[in-house]
Formats: sequence, structure tokens, C-alpha cells
Amino acid sequence: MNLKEWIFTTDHKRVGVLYLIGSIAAFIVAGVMALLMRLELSAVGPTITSNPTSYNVWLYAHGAVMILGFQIPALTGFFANYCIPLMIGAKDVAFPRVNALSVWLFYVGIVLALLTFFVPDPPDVMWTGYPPYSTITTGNTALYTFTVLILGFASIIGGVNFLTTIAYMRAPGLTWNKLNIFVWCTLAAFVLQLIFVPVLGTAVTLISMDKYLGTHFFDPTRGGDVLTYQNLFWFYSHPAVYVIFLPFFGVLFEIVATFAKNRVFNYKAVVFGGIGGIVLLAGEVWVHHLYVSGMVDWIRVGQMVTTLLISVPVGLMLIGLVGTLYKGSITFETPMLYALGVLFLFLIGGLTGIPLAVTSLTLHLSDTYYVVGHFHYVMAVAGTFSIFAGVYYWFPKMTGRMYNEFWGKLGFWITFVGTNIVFWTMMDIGVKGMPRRYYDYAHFAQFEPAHKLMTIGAVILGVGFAIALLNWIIGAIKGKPAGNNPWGSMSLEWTTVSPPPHGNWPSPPSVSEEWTPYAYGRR
Amino acid sequence: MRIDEPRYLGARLDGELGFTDSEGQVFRLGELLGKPMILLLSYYGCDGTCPTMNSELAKVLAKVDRFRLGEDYRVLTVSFDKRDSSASAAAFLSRTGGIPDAWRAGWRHAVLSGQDVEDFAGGVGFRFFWSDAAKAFLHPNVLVFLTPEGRVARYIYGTRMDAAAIELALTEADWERIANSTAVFDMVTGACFSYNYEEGRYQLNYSLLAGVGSLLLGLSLIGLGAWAYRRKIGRLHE
Amino acid sequence: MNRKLKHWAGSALIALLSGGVIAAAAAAQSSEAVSEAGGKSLVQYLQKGEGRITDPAPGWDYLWTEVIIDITVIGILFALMTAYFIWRYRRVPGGPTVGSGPTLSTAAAVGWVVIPTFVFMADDFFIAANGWVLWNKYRDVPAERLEVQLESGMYSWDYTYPNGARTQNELIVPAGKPVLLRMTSRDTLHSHFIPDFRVKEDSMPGRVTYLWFLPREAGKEHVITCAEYCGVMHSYMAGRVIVKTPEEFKAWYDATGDSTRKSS
Repeated sequence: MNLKEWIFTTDHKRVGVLYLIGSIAAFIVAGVMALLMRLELSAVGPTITSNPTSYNVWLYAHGAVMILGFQIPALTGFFANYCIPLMIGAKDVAFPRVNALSVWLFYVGIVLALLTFFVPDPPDVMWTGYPPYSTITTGNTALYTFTVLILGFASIIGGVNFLTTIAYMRAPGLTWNKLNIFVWCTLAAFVLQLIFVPVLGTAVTLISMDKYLGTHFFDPTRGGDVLTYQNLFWFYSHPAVYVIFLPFFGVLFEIVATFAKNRVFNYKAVVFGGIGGIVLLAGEVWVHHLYVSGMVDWIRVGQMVTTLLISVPVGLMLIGLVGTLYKGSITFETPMLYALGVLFLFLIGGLTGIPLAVTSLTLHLSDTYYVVGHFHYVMAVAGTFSIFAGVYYWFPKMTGRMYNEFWGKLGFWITFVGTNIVFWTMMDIGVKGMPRRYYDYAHFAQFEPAHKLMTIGAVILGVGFAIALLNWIIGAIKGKPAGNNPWGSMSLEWTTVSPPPHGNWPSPPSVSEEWTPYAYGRR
Repeated sequence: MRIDEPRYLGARLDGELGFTDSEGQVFRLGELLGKPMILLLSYYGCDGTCPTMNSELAKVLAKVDRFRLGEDYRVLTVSFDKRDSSASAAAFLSRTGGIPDAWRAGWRHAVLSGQDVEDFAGGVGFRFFWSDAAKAFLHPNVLVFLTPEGRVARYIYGTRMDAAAIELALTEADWERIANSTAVFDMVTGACFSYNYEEGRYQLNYSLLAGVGSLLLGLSLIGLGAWAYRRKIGRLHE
Repeated sequence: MNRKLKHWAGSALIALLSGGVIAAAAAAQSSEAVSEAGGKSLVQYLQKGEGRITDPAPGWDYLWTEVIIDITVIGILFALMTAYFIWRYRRVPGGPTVGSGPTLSTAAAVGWVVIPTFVFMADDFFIAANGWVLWNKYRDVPAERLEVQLESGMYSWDYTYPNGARTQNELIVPAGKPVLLRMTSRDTLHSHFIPDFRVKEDSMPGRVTYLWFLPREAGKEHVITCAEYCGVMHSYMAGRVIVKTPEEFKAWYDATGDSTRKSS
């Protein structure tokens, strides 16, 4: 393999793999941060560091890197790059060079994020970067701003690229009604990115201008407004949850349909009701992050209703997913195990979000471990499990080889158990009052056993993920040849050879009238 | 002279406090509440800034179109000098040129007695000293904006007043009602401006404008893409 | 748009609207039932200036239990159904190797959107209505109350009582009287969180926010903690609510108030 060929590649598959490698590296770093935090919290009082700032920096790095460096790039960078041209029967994306630029920018962003550990005053502003703290801290807020800006820019140009690709480069006969659910989901996610990323970019730029250039956007003594930042930030960052949610649900649909060998249940309801509904509602619910921030009362109550209504499109997508199991012929290889695991984790996460949508209940629950447990279930772990499911699923396509099934399943069960130990306990003590972002919990010493349990759970979780990562590396090097379509899927990406050559197909594929990516049991 | 604003914003005045106005009528503060109120602390023996403040306020309120004095809000001038009486208030009123008849019900000049003066002025953080050298009181020139339930909502300093700033401060003082009503224009202006404590004036909420601008940028990007797609597809069908 | 899609979207829209009406009716009824349980109707909560104390903290526990039962039932039903499908439709030797999921007719497809939408919206509005009733309790402060100014800073809670008395990190209150905090901050964001009273609200520079609670038992102490990340010592920014009997409180209040006033 030629390194230069990889760095200067414009092949969408290689760009995708570069995205995967970068985001997995980010995942490992952010995962280590999580373990450090859990070790620090394993007992009351200082344990592995006596400096709260170190803990705050780990916390910042964990949040920012997991979301901006791992989940969004893995889902909208890797999966979108690797799968979309293959799924729509295109030779490549619309703008291959722009695509290469986006992955370079992504690596610049990752490097900036990792600089956190090498600069003298690392950022300690949490991934939210709320002023006034972010403008008065000695930590390096600029690093935070530039990381967000670069990664946001990478994501925007990726978005333009994929929207164009999906709109114009579908194979002959592949109408909008025959797109894979994953393609629809990614399309929707990129629409959200394009609309909302500029708002985030503006918000984080303004805090750095406040801190370094002496402006007063968020300084109330000079006419600024503290609350505006929180509104702008969450105006992007809530849709960002759907930017993660939609593609990972798309991955689940691909996997469940393939391993149940079944058509997607009520395809149009999933696409127009589920995905469409989420796009429409995404921008009208951000205030549920500000229920205790001092917003006007009526807006809090109003957004309680819109937030609860999100359950409608999400519910339709869940029905589509579970309905796909109905009358299927289900087999349980590793990707399917992960996907079914997500179904249960997401169910817990989604339902525990309902109390958080209620303004009055949130007056107690906000900023506690309950919130942390909830969003880890619904987004962090569900998203990560889906990414793992997807990588396992397309592993034979990418490498032409097979991973080890035994270690794959073992890794799944270990992570599944670890996850529930950590995050269930977390929600439990959160309801009892444990606030989040605490380096020490001297006045909540009664939670020490729970914290110990969570530390053990986190180690188990780490072991499970490590098994999966090693399984991929070993599988990629010396796995058994997998063949072109080991899962017997109908979807277009499995019709070419594994791994697909540059240009994907010797001659462009076209699809027949009755073909759909899920046309299994035709009667 | 400044008021320690963070400490007094949100403080509530005692509605039971009794005043006597320039016509000798006795009333409670609570009777005037229920609408936002501009409170102006002066003393009637003053030949410095107090007459200026009152006549300037009268001039500038004539330019306030969005709210009507008496119907949407009230004004109360109160003396912080214990020696003042309703007679001196009337004298002060005629000396400063009086106020239009239409405003009589909405703008009263009142006096307090004894310890009430200090409690009342202290309640809004208003401090003053008698200077023997100048034979006058030293005091801040400030308008205090009260909410309909009698809480301090905003202080606006200075003898030069601006109708736009007064409209914004009244909007803010009545925010609970405006935010819950359909007064969209008032809501938008309320959200688009923020108060600058340092300079004591309102200015545009630049961060919000920047955010809205960037949202419009994102929306127009998507719109442009969709438009281009439809055009191209339309051409293919022709 | 082709005609079939138009037909589909049209029927979906009509069904959604009618579903909304039914759901709203269900919600209205349920909120009335809940408020009756509390001895009051929704209308009464909406009227301002009502004198009786309605403590939101027990209301929180009540609503929490209700919502937890609600989501547990939904969760278990959904999980059982999923588990049943996984078990029932697993591939068995000699069984089918492809699935035979149904192709839905237009009516069935619309039905599978509309009926779940009904159900979800009914539950959403039910929860939202109950949440709103409780929200009004949280935000309508009883007229008879102790009003304390709070200025938060890195890293302490500074309270000022109406008589000028000041305390730090110790909020001394009489049992049985509602306490209103009017909060502001001198530096960054903080959030005054009292887990025992199920309430918190951020404080920040440039704005005044409020919360209230009802201390009940004299002699008890309640933890106050900071819930909004505020810097290095965030996790050590703690205080106590100290509840005294009304007599003890009066003695303390008068003594402290006088000394503060003399010294100032």
C-alpha cells in the first residue's frame, strides 16, 4: 500500500476509510478520558489527580471529541462516504476533490482537538462553552472555537457534496422511492447540518471574539446577553442530536432488513413521517436544554409540547424497524446483535427522555446524572453501538475479509452489560440529586458505592470495545475471504466485488422496475 | 452617582406606602400599580437638574407613540426631601411648566413623610446627600422603571433622554404581559435589544442578530440547492 | 407530485388533524382528573393572585411516579413485542430463508401512521397537560412569603434578607413559610439546586431569575448545590438550607437584622 496514494486519494471509499480511522482514533482518546474520569470518581475526594482542572479538561475533551470528532464524522463522514455512492449506483461522489478537502479538514480538526493535551492552558469550558465562563477562564477557549469551526466546515462541504450526489447521480431507474433508508437518513442529516451549522459557527466565533478581541456580545455590563449564546448553541446542538440519530437509525434499518431478509415495514411512513417529521421538528425544540436557564415561561411550556411531539416521528421509525422483524427470517450475526442491542438501549434512552421533556420535572432533573445517563443511552451508546454494528456489517465489503464471529459476539455482550451497569446506575443516582460535571462529591458521599459500581462498569465497557477494535484489526489483516455478498443482501452496494475497485463497477449498474433494496420475499 | 443595580433589580416596592400628591390627595402606591410605571425621584426645592429632568421627561414622553401615558403606563415623581409638601410640589409643577391636561391622571407629583422617604428611596437603591457647600442635594439623575407588580425592572440614567430607550424600558418592564400576548412587534423589539449597564442605554443584541443571520444563510443555501435541482429536473423533462 | 402520493398525503393530513382533536380532548380530561386529585381545577391554577399555598415538591413526586409508570408500561410492551418477534421469526432449519413481510395497501399504510400518531399524541398531551399544571405551581409564588435576594459568585451563595441581614452558604428559613429567592450572579452562570425541594434555576449576570420552595420540617437541613458548571471549584460550591421553627427564626432574624442595620 502506498501512503501517498491514500493521503491524496479522491476515491470516496478511501476518503471514507480515512474518516473511519480518524474517528476511531478520536473514539479511543475520548474513551480513555471517560475511563480517567470514572477512576477519579471511584471514591470521594481526590483520587488520581488533585487538580480539578485536569478533570474538567478530560470532561471537555470527552464530550467535544466524542460528538464532534467521533460520532458525527463516523456517521456522516465514514458511512456516508463509503456507502452512499455504492447504494445509489454511482461511480463516485459529485465533487471528489472537495471530498478529499473535507477529510483533510477533518484531520486538522482532530489534531486541533488533540492539541488540548499539549497546550499549557487547555480548554476547560465543556463542549457547550457557555459564557461568561468561557470568556473569563484562563483555559484556551480559542482552541475550542477553532476545533468546532474546522470540523463544522468539513461537515458543511461534505453536506453540499452528498446532497448533490444523491440528487443527480443515482443509477438509471433508481427513483427517489427506491432509495435505501440510510440514504434518506443521511440526506436529512445533511440538510440539518447545512441549515444549523452556521449558527453554531457564529456562536463559538463570538465567544472567542469576546475573550480575545474585547467585544461584548455576551457581556451584560456592556449590553450583551448571556442567554443568547445558550440559545444559539442549542439551536444547532439539538438538531446535531438528530444529525447523529438519523444516520445511525439508517444503519440499523439496513442491518435489520438484511438479517431479517425482509422488506422495510411501511417504507413511506418511515421516510416521510419519521425522517421528514424529525427534520421539521428539529429546529423547534432547543429550549428543552434551557428549561432552568431563566427563559420566558411561555416558551418553556410551548417547547415542552414540541419536544414531546418528537415522540411521534421517532415512534414511527421504531415501528418501521420492529415491523421489519415481523415475518422475517432472522439470523443473529454480530452486526444484527449490535443492532438489536441498540433497539433496547434506544428504547430505554428514548423513554427516559420523556420526563426530561416535561418542564416541571426538569426543574429537578436538569443538570443531574439522570440527564447524563439519558443522553448516553439514547445518543452516545446507541450511536456508538450502531457505528460498531455498521462497521461489522460493511466490514466484508471494505476489506474483502471476515472478522471473527465468536469474538465479535463476545465483545457485544460485554459492552452491552457494561453499558447498562454504568448508565442505569447513573440515571438512578441522578434522580436522587447527584449533579453532573463534578470532580468530587463530598456533599453527596452517599453515592460512593454507586460511583464505584459505575467505574467497574466503565472498565467492562472499555474491554468490550477493545475486543471489537482488535477483532477488526486482526480480521482486516488475516480474516478469511468473505465473498462479494456474505449476508445475501439485496442492496446495491453488495452487487460489486469486495473490496470495490476505483469507480465501483466495471459498467454502471441499472436497476429493474421491481427491484428495491429490500425486495426479499416477493410473492 | 450610580445605583448598585444587580442588588436592586427585581426588588419589590411596598404597595401600602402612602403618598400625598400636588393637589393634596392621599393615595397608596398600590393604587397606581397594575401598569408599568416610570418613577422619577426629585426634590421640589431644586434649581439644578430636577426641573430639567421633569421637563425633559415631559418632552420626550410626547414623542413616545407606542404606549400612551395614563392608559399603558404611569409616571410618578416623588420627592426625597422631607421638607417638601403638596404645596411645594404644586409650586414645582407650575415652575417647570406643568403637564398637559390629558396626562394629569397618569402623571402625579407626590411627597412622602418622615422615615418613609428613606425607606422608599432605599428600596430602589437611590442614595442622596445634602451638600452644605452647594446648598443642594447630590443625587443620581435616573428614571426607575417598575413592573406592573411594583418591581424594579430597569434604571435609565442621564438628563438627556431618548424616546426609543424609554419605549424599550417600558417593553421590558411589562415583559411578562408582552411575552404572553400576541404583541409580536413588541416581543421582537424586546428580544432584539439588550441593556448596556456600563453606558446605561439600550443597544442592539448583536449576538442574536448574528445568529439569525447565520440561520438565514443556512436556509438560503438549502433553498438555493432545492431550486437548482427543480430547475434542472424540469429542464430534463422538457 | 404524482396522484397517489397526493392522495396519501391528504388522507394522512386529515387523519393527523382529527387525531389531534381526539388527543387534545383526552388530555383536557386527564388534566382535570389530576387537578381534581389535588383538590383544584386547571382554571383555578390559571387565575392569578390566589392565596393558598400549593407546594410543588410533592406534586413533583406525584407526577414523576405517574410518568415513570407510563413509560415503564410503554417500554415493557414494546420490548416484549420486539423480543417476541425476534424469537418467533428467527431462522430455523427447514424454515423459510427469506422474510414475507406484508406489502401494505394505501389504507393500511396510512392506518399504520395515523393510529400510532393518535396514541403517541394522546400520551404526549396527557403528560404535557399534567406537566403544565405542575409548572404553574412552580411559577406562581404564594403572596405570603419570605423574599431573599441571592447573589451567586465563584464559589459561594450570598443571601440578603429583607431587613439587610446577610448570610453566606447558609439559607436560614422558617418552617411553613414559602421562600422566594430572587437570583443574580456577579460573575458566571450558577444554578441553585436544592434536591430535597425538587427545584433549581440558573442565576446569571444581567438578569434576575427566581425560584421558590416550601420548607416544612423545622430542625432539618437540606443540601444546596451548584448544578451549572462554573469553573474549577464547581463541585465544592455547596450550601445548606437550615429550617428553624417560626419563633427561632424570628429571634435570629430580629437579632441579625438589627446588628446589620446599626453597623451600616
